[in-house]
Amino acid sequence: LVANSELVRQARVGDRDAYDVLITELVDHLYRIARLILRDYDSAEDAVQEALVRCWRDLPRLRDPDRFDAWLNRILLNAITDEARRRRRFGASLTVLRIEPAQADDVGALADRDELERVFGRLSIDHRTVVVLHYYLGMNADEAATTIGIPVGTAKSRLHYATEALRAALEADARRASAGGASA
Amino acid sequence: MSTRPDLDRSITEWLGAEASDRAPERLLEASRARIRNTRQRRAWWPAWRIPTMNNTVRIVAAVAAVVILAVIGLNLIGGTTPGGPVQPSPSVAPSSTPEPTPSEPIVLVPEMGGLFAGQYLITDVEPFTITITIPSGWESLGVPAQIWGTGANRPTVGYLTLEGIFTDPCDPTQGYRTVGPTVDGLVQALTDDPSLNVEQTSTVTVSGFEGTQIAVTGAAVDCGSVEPVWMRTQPGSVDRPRPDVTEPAQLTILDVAGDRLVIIATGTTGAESSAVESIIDSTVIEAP
Repeated sequence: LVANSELVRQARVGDRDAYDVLITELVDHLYRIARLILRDYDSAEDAVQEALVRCWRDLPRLRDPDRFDAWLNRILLNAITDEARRRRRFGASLTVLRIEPAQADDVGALADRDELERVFGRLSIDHRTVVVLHYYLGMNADEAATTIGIPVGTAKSRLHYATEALRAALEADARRASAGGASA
Repeated sequence: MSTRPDLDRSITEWLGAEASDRAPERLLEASRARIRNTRQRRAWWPAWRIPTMNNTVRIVAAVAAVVILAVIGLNLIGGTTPGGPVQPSPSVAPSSTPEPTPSEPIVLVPEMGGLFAGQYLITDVEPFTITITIPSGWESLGVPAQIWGTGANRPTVGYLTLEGIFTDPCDPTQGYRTVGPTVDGLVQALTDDPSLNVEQTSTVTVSGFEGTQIAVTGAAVDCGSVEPVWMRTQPGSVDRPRPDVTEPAQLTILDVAGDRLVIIATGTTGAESSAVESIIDSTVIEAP
């Protein structure tokens, strides 16, 4: 998603109406990223709300409006990290994210999704963040590292670890399905 | 064995299928409400640069900037602002743009956002009335009587009373352990919990009330997809996630004229510990 540069410029000099139009266009996108990483509806809402406020507050400090998308992603990821920490310290009563597949195409795909959900949920926030940036937003390791503000090697390492964990989960599930089919 | 393209496709399709929700309208409404009360931070560099600035212009601009800063500085030192500083209303909700230090305590409300540096009144930890002094750079956590710093480690300070310590960290519905009503009763209950480590026990006095300060860490507990908890506290009926080995919870447990008050702090390592200590030291408690 690419933000409207003219709206960014107007909001940057204090135009609240322009900012309102801007966030109305962006909020779904931000919410999906937050929900994927945080695995919780309430936490995602709080993180996005915080990111939108921080974005408005600091927008005049954005030197290059054309870098708005990357800058906002960074703000969102910081807000997500803060929210995860806030929840870890103060709110264990989390809403469990229900997975409702868009199409129940076949039993194997459903099992895959369950396994992915289970393993993905056990990854740390840092690992989930890299997975979402890479697989959902299509960033390569360099871009993900720049967005998060970590060394490229760290981003690659996190992506490798997370991907291998997800692969192992899928393969274990495939083995179980295979064993179940053989015994039937 | 799944191939890498298969795996990549599976993960991408799964994330895409999950990310189909739209943000609820209340999210935008709540954001707009906070943004209305938030002022933008001005950039300290010019928003639009002059593309062709020769050396003479640079020097003149630099001298002008120094003169302007000097005039502003003299005015600040002189303190000649007509009418004196603007005082926020005691009932004002904290915004994300901290204001100058107020002289009257502000009621601490559980709304996320930046806090003014200054005195705050905590009224929702019954039966106590508590006043604390918060330094600059702290925020409300959106949880009653809980604040946190903006430093790298995001230290937290909170005021609470104990409702109970869970018998099963994975299942709060299993009920509470037996905890005596005194300071020692709570320390003993935590010490007796085999899954918790209680360290650094020391005697403290806060606001003239004596108590015990301890650091609590917990062994790793695997509750599957459920986050392990250790106690339910008031206000807010918060089920608190267990502290882990890397981030101990510091509890200051006080006997306030026969009632037990707990001050909890986390992320207290390093440079941020002094800010936490200053807040705790500033605590003034009115006994019920």
